[in-house]
Amino acid sequence: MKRAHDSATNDSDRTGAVVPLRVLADVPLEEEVVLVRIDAAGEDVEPLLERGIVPGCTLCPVRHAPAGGPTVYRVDGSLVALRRETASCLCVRSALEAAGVLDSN
Amino acid sequence: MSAATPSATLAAGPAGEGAASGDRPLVALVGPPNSGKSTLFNNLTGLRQRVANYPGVTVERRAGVVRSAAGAVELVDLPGVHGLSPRSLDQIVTRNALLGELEGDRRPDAVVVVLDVTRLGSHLMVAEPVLGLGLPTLVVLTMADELDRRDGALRSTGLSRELGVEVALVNARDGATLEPVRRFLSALHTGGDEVRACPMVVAADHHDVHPSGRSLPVVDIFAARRERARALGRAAAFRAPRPSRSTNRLDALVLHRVWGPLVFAGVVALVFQAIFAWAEPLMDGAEAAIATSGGYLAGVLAEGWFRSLLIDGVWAGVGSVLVFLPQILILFFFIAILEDSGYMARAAVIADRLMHRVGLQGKSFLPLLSAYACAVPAIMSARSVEDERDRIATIFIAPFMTCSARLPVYALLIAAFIPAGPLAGPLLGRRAAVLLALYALGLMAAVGTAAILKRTLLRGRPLPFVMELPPYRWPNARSIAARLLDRTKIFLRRAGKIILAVTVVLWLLAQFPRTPGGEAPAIGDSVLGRAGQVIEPVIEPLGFDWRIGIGLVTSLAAREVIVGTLGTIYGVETRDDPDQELRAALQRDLDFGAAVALLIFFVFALQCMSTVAVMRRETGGWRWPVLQFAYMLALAYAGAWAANALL
Repeated sequence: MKRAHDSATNDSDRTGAVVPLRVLADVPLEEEVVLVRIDAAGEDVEPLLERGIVPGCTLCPVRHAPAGGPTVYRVDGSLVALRRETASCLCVRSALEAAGVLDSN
Repeated sequence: MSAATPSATLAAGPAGEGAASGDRPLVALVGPPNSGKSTLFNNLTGLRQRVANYPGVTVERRAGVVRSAAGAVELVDLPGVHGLSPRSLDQIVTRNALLGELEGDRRPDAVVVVLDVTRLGSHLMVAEPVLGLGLPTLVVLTMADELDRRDGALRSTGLSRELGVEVALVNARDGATLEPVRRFLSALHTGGDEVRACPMVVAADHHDVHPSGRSLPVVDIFAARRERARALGRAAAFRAPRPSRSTNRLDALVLHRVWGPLVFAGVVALVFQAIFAWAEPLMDGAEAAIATSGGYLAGVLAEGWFRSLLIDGVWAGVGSVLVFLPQILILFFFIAILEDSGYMARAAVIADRLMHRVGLQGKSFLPLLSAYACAVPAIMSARSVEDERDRIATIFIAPFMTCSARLPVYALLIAAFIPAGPLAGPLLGRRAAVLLALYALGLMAAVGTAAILKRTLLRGRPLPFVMELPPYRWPNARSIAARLLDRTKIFLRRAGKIILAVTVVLWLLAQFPRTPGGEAPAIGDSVLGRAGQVIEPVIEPLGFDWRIGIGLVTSLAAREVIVGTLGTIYGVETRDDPDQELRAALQRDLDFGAAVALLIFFVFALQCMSTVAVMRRETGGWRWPVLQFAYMLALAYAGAWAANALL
């Protein structure tokens, strides 16, 4: 989890973001974000990728499960539940900001 | 592309009835889970389906025939997958089936790719490697009604033009919308121009087909695939539907921090109530029917070894499985409703926190709940647990859950040794409290075992927990009926065969050596009885004598068999009240400590050959079942010894 935080804040040149990246676990409910990078080892990311959690996709936390359980996210029309530890490996930036970056290009 | 990869090639085995039949074109249905694939399959084939196992593995092969004026087509419903990479057994089987590399199965002549149109983006990504196989393909987009209702839009002709194959927008439950699918299937006979392979060359994408491509960064492959999927969506003027309002509202309740756990507890209580209270009259009925029919048969046949084999061996064996059938049907019925409605995924989310604490995950919840009825379907349903280590751990602890075969044993011993009467107020009687304690003991053993396993043999970095929450749908009677039917067939086949075999063997052991007069021996003189005497020194420290020893040996067929065996050994004949007589005999033979020891032995021991057999199939070898049998036996022995020594 530590690794995810470190790289999230220090990797701005690779992603082109000006504002430091956040991890998905820290995104408040109903805020739309765009996935920038997944900080997890090779094969481990496959279950995420296969369900459409791919860099570039839009994620939006919609609901926390009771008692610190997984959080439900909207991903391109599907609902997917992720544990906090998994959501902490996903580096994201706000969707508005991502759109702005695209415009300026 | 067609090169076989040794690691993913399935073990050869005899082709079952699932082998492709005749000259009918073979068409494979492929798609992600929850895409409406099975609903489509049921709607096209009706209930005339054949379920078999792929040779050597436990993945089911569901096949059916679709008839049309042009001719019949053999349709195979492949397991729901998110991709074709050799990550799970389901994906390996699907991939090999599509490449024609499964023993006893040929390469399909065409593929029907089933995708949920409301999730077109991620589902098209799943479709890509399938399209890249170059087989004639029809893309079926389901949930057209849902897309409409939620203001989404798609021009299927646009998508069809881009992909170069036919695209049908359907509602899998509505047969009238399936006309394009039927047209495609009959075009396989008439050679219509609906039958086309995707001309798209999926470059740099052999990752899914070729594990050698694994060195490519997998994220990049998926990112590229996602881009192509989006481009396809744009070409088809795809407008994503807005989130489902009803799903959102239901989730607000079902995942609410107060109501959520309450709904969850209510559902669990309902399932328990159903599999115990409601199933009981049906089980009594089944038992009576088996006894009556056995009695009738016994009256018709002449006395002799054949009658004895048929009635005491085969009939008793088949009966001991059939008795549990009503309960297991009810269990399957609830599971089908919970899964098809979409609630099961929410239950897994709610349970995840708790399960995570013992090293498991939310998806293990369903198998463990099922294990309270019977470990055999529970172990089968553990396939939904994607993480292999979690799946093995779930399978391993499932037999600790108090299955219903233990209940007759508990009931007999509790009635014989625990006096009735209140323990704490009028609500909790002494006997009920002991029963609850036995349930709790099993659960605690399961939790402890899971924690140990995940720290030792099954240690490792867990895969990320990703749980898809499908939109809520009304369960569909037809697909529930189809599932009940094939679950039941599989249960009977798996459990039936082994119990039948074990009971016949035990019957034989009780029949020999014959007396000088050629009669069956008294049970104490038979091979079985001597076996009981041989193990007596071993079980003596537990407070058991050779009679209980024989009971323990015979209960290997199924736990409740010990009740019948003890009845035979103590010479209980069907007189006024056989139960009362058996209880009195036990009270003479066992002291209180030994009775508790016997109860504890049954809490822990894996006295069930069907479970061992299913486990061998599901874990692909003898390693886990042997380890489990030894582990549970050791626990049972130690627990029983302690109980006998202390009490």
